[in-house]
Amino acid sequence: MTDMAPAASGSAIARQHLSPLTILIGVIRNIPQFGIFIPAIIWGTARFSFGMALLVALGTLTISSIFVYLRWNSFRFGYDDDELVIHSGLIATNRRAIPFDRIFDVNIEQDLLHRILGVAKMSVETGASGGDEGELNAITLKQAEAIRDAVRRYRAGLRSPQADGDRDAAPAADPVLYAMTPGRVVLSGMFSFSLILVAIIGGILNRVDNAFSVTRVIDVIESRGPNLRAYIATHLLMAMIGIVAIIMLIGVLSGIIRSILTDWGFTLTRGETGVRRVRGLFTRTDTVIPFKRIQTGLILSGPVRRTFGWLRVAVQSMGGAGQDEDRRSAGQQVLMPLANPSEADALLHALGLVAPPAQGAMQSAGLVYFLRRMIWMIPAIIPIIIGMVLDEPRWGAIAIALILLSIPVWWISGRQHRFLLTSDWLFVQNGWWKRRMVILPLSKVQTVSIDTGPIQRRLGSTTLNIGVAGVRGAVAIMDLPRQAACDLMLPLAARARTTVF
Amino acid sequence: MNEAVIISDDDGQPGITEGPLSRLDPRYKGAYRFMLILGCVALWAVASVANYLFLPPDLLPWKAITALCAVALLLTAIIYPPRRYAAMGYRVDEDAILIARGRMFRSETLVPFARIQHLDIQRGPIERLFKLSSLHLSTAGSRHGIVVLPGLPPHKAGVLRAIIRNSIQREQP
Repeated sequence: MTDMAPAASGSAIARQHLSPLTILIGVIRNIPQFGIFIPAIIWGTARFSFGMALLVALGTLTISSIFVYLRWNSFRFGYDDDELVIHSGLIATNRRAIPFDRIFDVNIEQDLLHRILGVAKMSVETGASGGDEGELNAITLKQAEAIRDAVRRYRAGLRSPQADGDRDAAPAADPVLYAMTPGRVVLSGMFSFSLILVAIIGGILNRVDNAFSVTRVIDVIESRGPNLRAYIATHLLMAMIGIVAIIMLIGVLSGIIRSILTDWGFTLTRGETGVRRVRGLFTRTDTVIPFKRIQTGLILSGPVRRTFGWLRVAVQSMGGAGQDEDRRSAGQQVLMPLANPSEADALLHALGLVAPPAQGAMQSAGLVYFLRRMIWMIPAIIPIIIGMVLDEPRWGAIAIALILLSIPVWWISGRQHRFLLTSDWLFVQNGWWKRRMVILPLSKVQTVSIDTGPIQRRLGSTTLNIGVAGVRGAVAIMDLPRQAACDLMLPLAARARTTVF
Repeated sequence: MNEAVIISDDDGQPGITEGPLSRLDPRYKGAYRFMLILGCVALWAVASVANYLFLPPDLLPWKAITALCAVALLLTAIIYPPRRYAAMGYRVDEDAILIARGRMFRSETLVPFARIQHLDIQRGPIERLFKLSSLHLSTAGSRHGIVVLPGLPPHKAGVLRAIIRNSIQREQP
């Protein structure tokens, strides 16, 4: 483990073990299962005495620890200037060689336990299916960074072969694209209103209703003096406002807590092959999103964020051939949880994307969007009729309220659904409450489809669905007049004529 | 290779955007009908068994189930296949293929050749019975990951595959 220098060029020898702390981590991780859970079951069912159960716990823990040790012992890795080799396997051994050629970049992740012990989980980002090809869990942080530097030197060497002499020089620090101050993390949390804590508290209150109930609390308060119940009865409105305010407060608090846990120290740097994002308080994740995999840019905003002029920037990334580890860089990746428009523009340019156009420059979905959805509401008349027939005005009232509510909602949604097609880009915006703007380079278009439902046919409109790699569903332009959709089909697919990837 | 036929939808307007579409092989009607009949028979079997096992014996007499299934069979197997056949079509451009399907929910998908990851010619057992095959085009898009063009006689499927392959190879630098 002290020998950190890579071997000479040539085939690498897998000589190094993972950090011995891996054994400790493995044992600690096993404690809940082998040390507590299984013996607890045995104690409960076989009626051993507590002392016996403890003995059983020690026994299972020891046996599982032996396996952890054996697994550690059978895993060796090594690297030289251009490849990483891994020997693993207890019974069936496996020797795996991953040339640096195939490695885009290196991901380093540390959860709480790792950080306490000063180790990290390192995994490599390859072009094709990732899986657990090149995962070293756990090696010291220094070793992980050394391997990452070796990979980067190799890739730098590819670009400029005459820089061979500089091999020993540490690669220059990557430019920082975006970093979040603690203040901004908290601000971002405030905008991420989350009712999950409310739900959890409500669930807990429900469960422990016997031991601790709100009525008993009120009784206790009342015995001390003020007549709470009467007060609440007379000031019902104030009480309700109070409750709503408390719920809102809890919502904002839980948003802040979540934001602190996931986005603490959020830093975005520009690497050679992709964007590197480091974030997290207890679990620190260090992910690389390769440029090549980025399919679309996304600008998201909620109503409160928008009012204050903030945006959230994300990209949709393709990910590998569906292996679990590759999922880390697949799907929607948030690159800027909270940014102002100029920061967002800067990042988009750095990614090779483009800033979206102004609202006015985009074409709106128009009347058909609204009409079609109002037609969907027609079945809501049934409860009204039934209500009138059965003399139950409540049903009718609810249905009428629903219809009246949906009129402005659908109208605004229709206005907010916009798109713009230029020679290289397609911009599609959706949503009236939470707004979402998709920035699609035409070179990433896979398929184009015109889909027409029965109501759309009568109204003369269609939905244009654009298939993009790694994007669940499609990028869709809804309720376009049919002729316009047909006219768009060719320009959209035109870029696809030239192969890419 | 294919007679150009215009597919019209209910209101008599030409259905497809850029011109005439080729039809599938007429034997597709028969193959689809066969599949529907098999489906109905399976449904009848399941319904009868469920009725026997789970419902009280006099609730739904076996004859009623058989009659219901027979009616369903008749309606679907006679009426539906020709309508479905009429609503399907395709057109091969110089660098893309357009595949259209569906009447009520119509979908017209344009797949540029350059975007085809790989293509398969598949023949299921029923297709083999009717001497048909289907072309499965794989793309990288998750929305239309696999686009299927059924109802092709084998030689036509082979010709299409060759056209697509040649077009892709022409583009390789």
